[in-house]
Amino acid sequence: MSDEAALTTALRRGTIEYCVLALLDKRELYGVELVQQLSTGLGMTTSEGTMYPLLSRLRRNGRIATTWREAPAGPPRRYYTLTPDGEAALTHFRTEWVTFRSGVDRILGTEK
Amino acid sequence: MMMTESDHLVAVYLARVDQAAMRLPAGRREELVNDLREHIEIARAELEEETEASIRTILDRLGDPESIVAAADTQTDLPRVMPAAPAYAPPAPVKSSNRNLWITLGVLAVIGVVVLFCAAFSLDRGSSYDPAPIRPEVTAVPAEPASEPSGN
Repeated sequence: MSDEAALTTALRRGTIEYCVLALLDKRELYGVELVQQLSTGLGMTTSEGTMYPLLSRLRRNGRIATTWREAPAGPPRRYYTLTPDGEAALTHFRTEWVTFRSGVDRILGTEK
Repeated sequence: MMMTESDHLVAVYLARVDQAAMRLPAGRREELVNDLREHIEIARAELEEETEASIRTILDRLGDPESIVAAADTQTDLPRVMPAAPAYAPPAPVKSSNRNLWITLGVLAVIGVVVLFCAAFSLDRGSSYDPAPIRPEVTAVPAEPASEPSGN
């Protein structure tokens, strides 16, 4: 892995899962939709597959849940939804993030 | 049902994921392969027109199997590491208590042998240097017959 790639990986670690929770806070999404929105939003369109292990952990930790729904066309879709635990974690992260971000900005001189 | 070139591409891709995921715990490996299979099925169902190129695009966007499995490595919960530690620890006390038992038995055996040697040696020395054990016998024998007749 190049230094560049290692940097983006390190930056994403610990934040992507809250992006997942935030997307699901707006509305429930099935796997393909969720993964495409994430990868497009974060500019990582060649690693959609890496989101599935993350979704799997969030499900195990009870922050998201899944339900099957019939689709107008094609196979049934498994929709991911936010659980109350996931909602609480998202709320907590939002405040933590603002504090952390402004601290980093102050030190880096990137605020404004 | 005949296997199309697209089906073949998908099968090869999933086999590569499955192969790379061998190092994951069994449940995780199956879950990962199933999640990706489901993703591919749905993405295919949503294509306006299925071509080999469009299947390749779906797979390219999913990414390299090895990096997907590497992502799964970082998504393991802490308990996954835990079972290894206790599993290692219990055999050690059992082993060492067995070892202690053998050491104890060995020491006792050595002490026993030494005690026997000492006893045998001191008996040997006693009989050759100290006439005492013999004398009482010698004196006791005449003493008894002597006292018996006198008692009668």
